[in-house]
Amino acid sequence: MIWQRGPNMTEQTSAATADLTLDIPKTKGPLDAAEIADAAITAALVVALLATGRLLGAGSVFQVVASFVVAVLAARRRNRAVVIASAAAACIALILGGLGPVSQAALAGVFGWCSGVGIRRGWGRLRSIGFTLLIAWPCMAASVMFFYPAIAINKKLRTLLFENIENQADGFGKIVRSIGSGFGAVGLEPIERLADNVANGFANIAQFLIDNWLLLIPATEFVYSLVYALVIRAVARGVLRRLDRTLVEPMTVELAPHHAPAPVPVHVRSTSLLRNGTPVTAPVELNVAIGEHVVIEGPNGSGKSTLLDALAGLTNHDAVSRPGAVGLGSTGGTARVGQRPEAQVVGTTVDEDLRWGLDTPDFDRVESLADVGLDLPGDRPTSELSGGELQRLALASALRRKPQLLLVDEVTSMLDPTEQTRINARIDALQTTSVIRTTHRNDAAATDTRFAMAGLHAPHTATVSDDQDPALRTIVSAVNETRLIRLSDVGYAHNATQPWAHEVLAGVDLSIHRYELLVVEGRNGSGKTTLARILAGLLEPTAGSVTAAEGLRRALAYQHVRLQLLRPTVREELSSLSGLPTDLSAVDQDSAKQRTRATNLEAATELFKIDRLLHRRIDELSGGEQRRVLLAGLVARGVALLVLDEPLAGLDASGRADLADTLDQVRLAGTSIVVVSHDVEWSPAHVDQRLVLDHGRLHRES
Amino acid sequence: MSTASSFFRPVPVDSPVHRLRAETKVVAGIVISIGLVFNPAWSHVGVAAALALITFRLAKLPRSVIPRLPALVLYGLFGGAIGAAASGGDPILFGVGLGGLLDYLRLIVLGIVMILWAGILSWTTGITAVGFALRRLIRPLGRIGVPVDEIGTVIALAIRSLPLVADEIQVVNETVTTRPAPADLSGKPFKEAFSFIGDTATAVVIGSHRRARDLAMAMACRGSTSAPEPDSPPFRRIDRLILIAAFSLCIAAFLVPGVPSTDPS
Repeated sequence: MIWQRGPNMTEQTSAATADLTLDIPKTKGPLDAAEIADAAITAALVVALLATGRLLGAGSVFQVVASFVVAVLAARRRNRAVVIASAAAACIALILGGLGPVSQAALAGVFGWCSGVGIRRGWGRLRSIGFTLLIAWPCMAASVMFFYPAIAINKKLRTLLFENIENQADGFGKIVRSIGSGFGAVGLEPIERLADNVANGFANIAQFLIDNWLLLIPATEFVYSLVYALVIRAVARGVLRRLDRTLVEPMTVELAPHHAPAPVPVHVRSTSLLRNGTPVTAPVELNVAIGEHVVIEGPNGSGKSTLLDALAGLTNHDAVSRPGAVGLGSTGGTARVGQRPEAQVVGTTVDEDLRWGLDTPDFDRVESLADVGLDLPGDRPTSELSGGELQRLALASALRRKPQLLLVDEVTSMLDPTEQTRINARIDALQTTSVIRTTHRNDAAATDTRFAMAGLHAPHTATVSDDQDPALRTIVSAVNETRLIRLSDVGYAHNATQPWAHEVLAGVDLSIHRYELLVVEGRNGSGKTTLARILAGLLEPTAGSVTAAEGLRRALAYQHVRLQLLRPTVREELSSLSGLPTDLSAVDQDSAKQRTRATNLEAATELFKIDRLLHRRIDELSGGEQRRVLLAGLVARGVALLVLDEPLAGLDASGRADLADTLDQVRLAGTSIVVVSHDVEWSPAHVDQRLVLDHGRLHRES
Repeated sequence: MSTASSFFRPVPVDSPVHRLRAETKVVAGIVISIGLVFNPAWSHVGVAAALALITFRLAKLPRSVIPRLPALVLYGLFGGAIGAAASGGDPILFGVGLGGLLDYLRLIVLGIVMILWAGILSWTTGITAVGFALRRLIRPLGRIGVPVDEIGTVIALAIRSLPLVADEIQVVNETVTTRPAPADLSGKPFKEAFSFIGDTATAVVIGSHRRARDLAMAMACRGSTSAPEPDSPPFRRIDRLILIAAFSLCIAAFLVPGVPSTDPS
């Protein structure tokens, strides 16, 4: 299962002859875990795209994107996955507003599948479009909001519709005629005749529509289907080529349930563990005995998570030896809780999540939850839980399985100190279970074995020691009274006019001056992201006022920067971000604006130390490098106020130093920064204002 | 969370309609809509509209839940009304022919009633409950070979992922719309639109690819790819009565010609 690149395949997207073909093994039977996951995410995307399209009133654009998403699935997965994903999306679309969205979702599925099959098989344009029309056009015609069959079979609705068409033609004809006869009365007969003709024209057109409906509806739908198919194919091929190396190969995840697993004592030995086929660690040699507790230490990127995945039997099978089956997810086998809390939970409700994979009749939900200090109703949707609650819920599922081997990766990162102590004590108390965990805090118990991991590359060390940097000192002392933006008594309520409105921000007063660095701390649900979006100008507050300096450019950088980078390579991305042509030699030298931007871009590239990355592809970069690219582009565009939402998540000490370094560079470029974070321990040098957001209220830190 | 995720949230009040089983609401809404489409006589449209309004009141829904229509749609509707009114026709009241306007109104009311049923479902039912209901409803299709377990699991996981995915789409959409237009494409609206769709699609797919990986891993850690069977609380009498009533109405719509008769003359 690999992406085969045709012989003509080049970096340029203009290579129209290039073919993408993909072999999918002809397996039969139910979908595996990776296929189910792909199908589910595709279904969710289709529904969310249709909903967003409705919300923004740009339905057709988002419908094309939805079909495209299905096409990507169809190009990479079995037909079974596509059909199941489309069926699920159509079912869920019911809640978006009845049968209309249902048919939209189903159509996105049909068009996406047809285009995807064409791409997968490497068909030419003619064949592919022909196939799409053959399959999708009848579906399209049949579903004109499911009214078409209703019209065709059912004379009553047909009569009502046609009478309305006749009435419209007749009514407007009468209006035109009476205006015309007004002109006729004052002696302008030609206008009267013209009006008569127009009115007759209306009637004739209506009559034509009504007489030929059986032909006309399919004919219009044919044209529409053709355009639709051409657009999806054009977009899908271009984008699939860009995704070519990013999506690597369709992943398979093997489930390893076993009745008598024996995962410990386990022995790991490897010259270098692999992630996605690339070596990432220095040589590893680790033995874990029954009941032993091991803490794995090491910087970001040293392969801690890779080691845990290998121990869970997910990757690097050759490197691990154990007496029996790994039994991932089985009772008495191996249990693993990974890093990002929202990625650990599979059920839609608390109860469903706890029962997933272990649906025993004697299951006691309350007891299971109490074990990790939770008290939640079983029907609470998991989408409403906080990060800390999700982490503990995932841990509860792991503990329910009474595992012999428990693997936990940063599982207390979103918890309060007291909760952390409690969870650590609970894990320490596991006598017969071998526990292997990673942590970025120094909280290993005295009895734990410590194991140090080292990455393949020497860890990045921050170079700027800002106390000595004269340029930065100048900037910092230059923080002045030029106010960039002022929030007075700002409040925000979601769905303010709706009955389910809830207030997330209230009475926020805040001023930000030129060159300043602000840190706003707040726990999950404190209104941080809302404040960040208001500061960045993406959201209008529902109360109070925002006064920004004239011409102030602001921008928001999210935690997961990847979503904000759109072009394939660093150079193209930087050009796009700063509003320059992709080919920098095409910069219009006569345009002062473009010249300034080009100069700024050059300066920013140097300042953010990304000059050596220019030819790299975005997806080859680390998270920190991606952030540098985004910020450099924004600075070059002339953004004077930059808001960073949760930039610290998942960063270790060296990652944090790197971030502080990047922030210094942003300030050297003359841009003010607001950092919004749940992490209270982080404190970069030279913070000018430090604020705490608590339940939507802003306090100065004392 | 964001605006997108609040799209799928019911109105937090307690009412008899909220307490009904989600299946009852889904099936009753569909059945009544089908009856209406197949016989849109005034009497039938009137009964369905009255039922929808009564349900709306019983559900203690405030009028503010109904979204405001875009101005363009309102103008279009109004324009249509002018044309329809001018055509006149029976019945004639005070010398004004109302036939055209009445036919037009009937069509509009029909559309509104159908959308209102769907609205009532989403304003009174959590999306997780609708998910469970859908999975129970498709269950019988398993007998004719439909892979209901897989579809059910995909529905469950899709609903679980919906808020996360919706937030990602919001981020991507913001990024694309706030970015300056590519300098070399200015003046080429067609290419610009294509690059917009391409950029949006790429970022959305890359984000979702990561989510799908996470989901597959999480399922592997539970050792199972199928969602546990949803609990099936017993049907209460009220649910049964409503379903019987809905089906009777649908059958009645087919059998009773209605007033005034819409049969083609």
